[in-house]
Amino acid sequence: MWKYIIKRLVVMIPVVLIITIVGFVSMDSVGDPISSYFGKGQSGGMQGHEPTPAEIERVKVALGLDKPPVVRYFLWFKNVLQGNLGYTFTGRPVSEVILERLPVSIALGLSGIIIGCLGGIILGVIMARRQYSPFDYGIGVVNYIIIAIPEVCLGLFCIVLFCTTLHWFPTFGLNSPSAIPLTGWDRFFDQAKHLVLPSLILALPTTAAWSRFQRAAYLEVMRSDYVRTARSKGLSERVVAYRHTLKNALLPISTSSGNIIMGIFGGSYIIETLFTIPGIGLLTTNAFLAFDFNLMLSTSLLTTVMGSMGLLLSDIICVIVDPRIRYE
Amino acid sequence: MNRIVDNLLSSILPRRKNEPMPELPRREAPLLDFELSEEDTFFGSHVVSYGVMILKRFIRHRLALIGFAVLLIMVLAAIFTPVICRYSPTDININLLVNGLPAPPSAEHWFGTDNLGRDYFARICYGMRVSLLVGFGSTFIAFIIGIPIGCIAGYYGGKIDWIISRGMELVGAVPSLFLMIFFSAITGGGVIGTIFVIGLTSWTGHVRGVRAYFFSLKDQDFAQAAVSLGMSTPRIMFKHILPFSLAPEIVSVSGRIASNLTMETGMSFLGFGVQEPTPSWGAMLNNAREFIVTAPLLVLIPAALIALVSLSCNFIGDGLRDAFDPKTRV
Repeated sequence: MWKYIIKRLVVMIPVVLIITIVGFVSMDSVGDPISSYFGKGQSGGMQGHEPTPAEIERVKVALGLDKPPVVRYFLWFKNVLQGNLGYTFTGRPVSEVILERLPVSIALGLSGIIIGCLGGIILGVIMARRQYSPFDYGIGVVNYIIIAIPEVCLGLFCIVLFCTTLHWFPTFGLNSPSAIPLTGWDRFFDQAKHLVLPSLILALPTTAAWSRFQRAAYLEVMRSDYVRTARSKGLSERVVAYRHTLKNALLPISTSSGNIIMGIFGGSYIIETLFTIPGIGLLTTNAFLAFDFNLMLSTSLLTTVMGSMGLLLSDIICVIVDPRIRYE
Repeated sequence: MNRIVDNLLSSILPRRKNEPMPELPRREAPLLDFELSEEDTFFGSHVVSYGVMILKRFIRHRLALIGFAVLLIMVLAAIFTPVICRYSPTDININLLVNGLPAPPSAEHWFGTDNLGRDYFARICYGMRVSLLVGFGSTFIAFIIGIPIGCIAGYYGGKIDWIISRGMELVGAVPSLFLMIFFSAITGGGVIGTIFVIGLTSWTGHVRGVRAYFFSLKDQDFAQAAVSLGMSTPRIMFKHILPFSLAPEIVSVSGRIASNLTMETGMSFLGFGVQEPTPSWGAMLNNAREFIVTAPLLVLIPAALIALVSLSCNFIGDGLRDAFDPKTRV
């Protein structure tokens, strides 16, 4: 098992290398960090100021742009290995910015995964146990619509309904605007309140897809011989349903967990932008909009590593859950 | 009416092959589960071509037909936009604003105006043009890239297949929306740029499907016979093996149009892809987000239209899948 994990981790290295090289080269050949530093720098920077040649030269040296791209790639990579991700255009260390944003994204993503998976499994089991009932049909129709409609539209519909019409949730941000910054539990509850709707919207497509899978898997297991055996032994319906059927019906679902982990990170771009939640997704989109070189590279690296880890994690989950799957 | 509801439900719910279908009566000949008319007879015997059969099965799928009608209306409206719209989508007219806010719908401006006083109906129509163009165009590009690569990977196997598979794994390790943001930021967006960015990042699904078919078909007798007759490799690949694997790919196209349209919406919403002042539904959502409290219609109209197109494409996809699959009863 450990051998397998280590082997997979080693395979990840060329993936990360290739993606960072492609990213570095393409950004380098197209982007113009100097002009975006002087022109489009978000805040800080030097907005609307016509730079003199000396200033350009100074910024070039400060950003390390005076060396050829190959040298800069290896320098960047060496720094990354030492934990130094460079500086943003606003002059803050990239690693500091990312560490500040990461907990927000993880809180959002994790609550999204947990709500989505639990909701999907529970709904799927109920649907399968009451096959062809109005409940089954009703949730089936809703699932179909949720899967078909893009996340942006779903999010905007929810905002209009729950935030601006019913006023159940705050519309955007992570903290309520207040004169005195909240501390301790007040701050926690305030932020939790802001994250309820985003994580629900993040979870909705997962719930819909998983309840579909779960329904199909559960129905398949219900028809198998060992379930009939368990029933004929005289076991109670409860034991048959949860010990024998549910346990095995969860197997096929574990295969798709990797896509969901990745999907949560991919989907969070839209959700974080929708609700203006300062997480990694919003950081990434803003970095690309402003062409903030170091931030772009670091977020690409982070996304690639997270994506590969998600795929690896799902494979490991499959192997642990289903002993029939062999790993090479 | 009951049959429509049955069709609706059975098309929406996931269906398994072994699952009994209590609502629908079983018939003897599943392939010809529609009425044969006089025109279908040829010297006294019933003759139906494959295309006609697929068409008849598709037409029986009511939801798919509704979806097709909706999409057809939208495509026609997109083609004839200049005739329908009285206003230009980019003409700014601050005088139309009401207290500095977007004007509500009126007889003159059906959907009101946006925050710069531009006619919103015109923007929706021209935006539909752009969004549909991106959806169809990128799907087309993905199709013509993915199918040949899938053929080559599946036919040759070995090292070529290994390289292509590793390449796809590489792309699969990154969320596709991130990939699109990345390339869009580098190429600078625009309508054509967006079409290419989405098309070039979404072809891997086609490769996977075609490759799997080629693996199972290339060693069969008819393919071997073609080889022994001395046919050229492209002819064997495209004329003899590909037709068998093409049907599922064609069926998947309408779902892909929906997902590409979703991607365009997401990208433009984030500020990449199609840029102002060119209207596209995604960019309009991004622009209208600020006015979600004061003018929710600006958000709701494009969002509802995107949802409608997406749903229609999914219905069409289901209809096509059922029509092509002889095992399902329509």
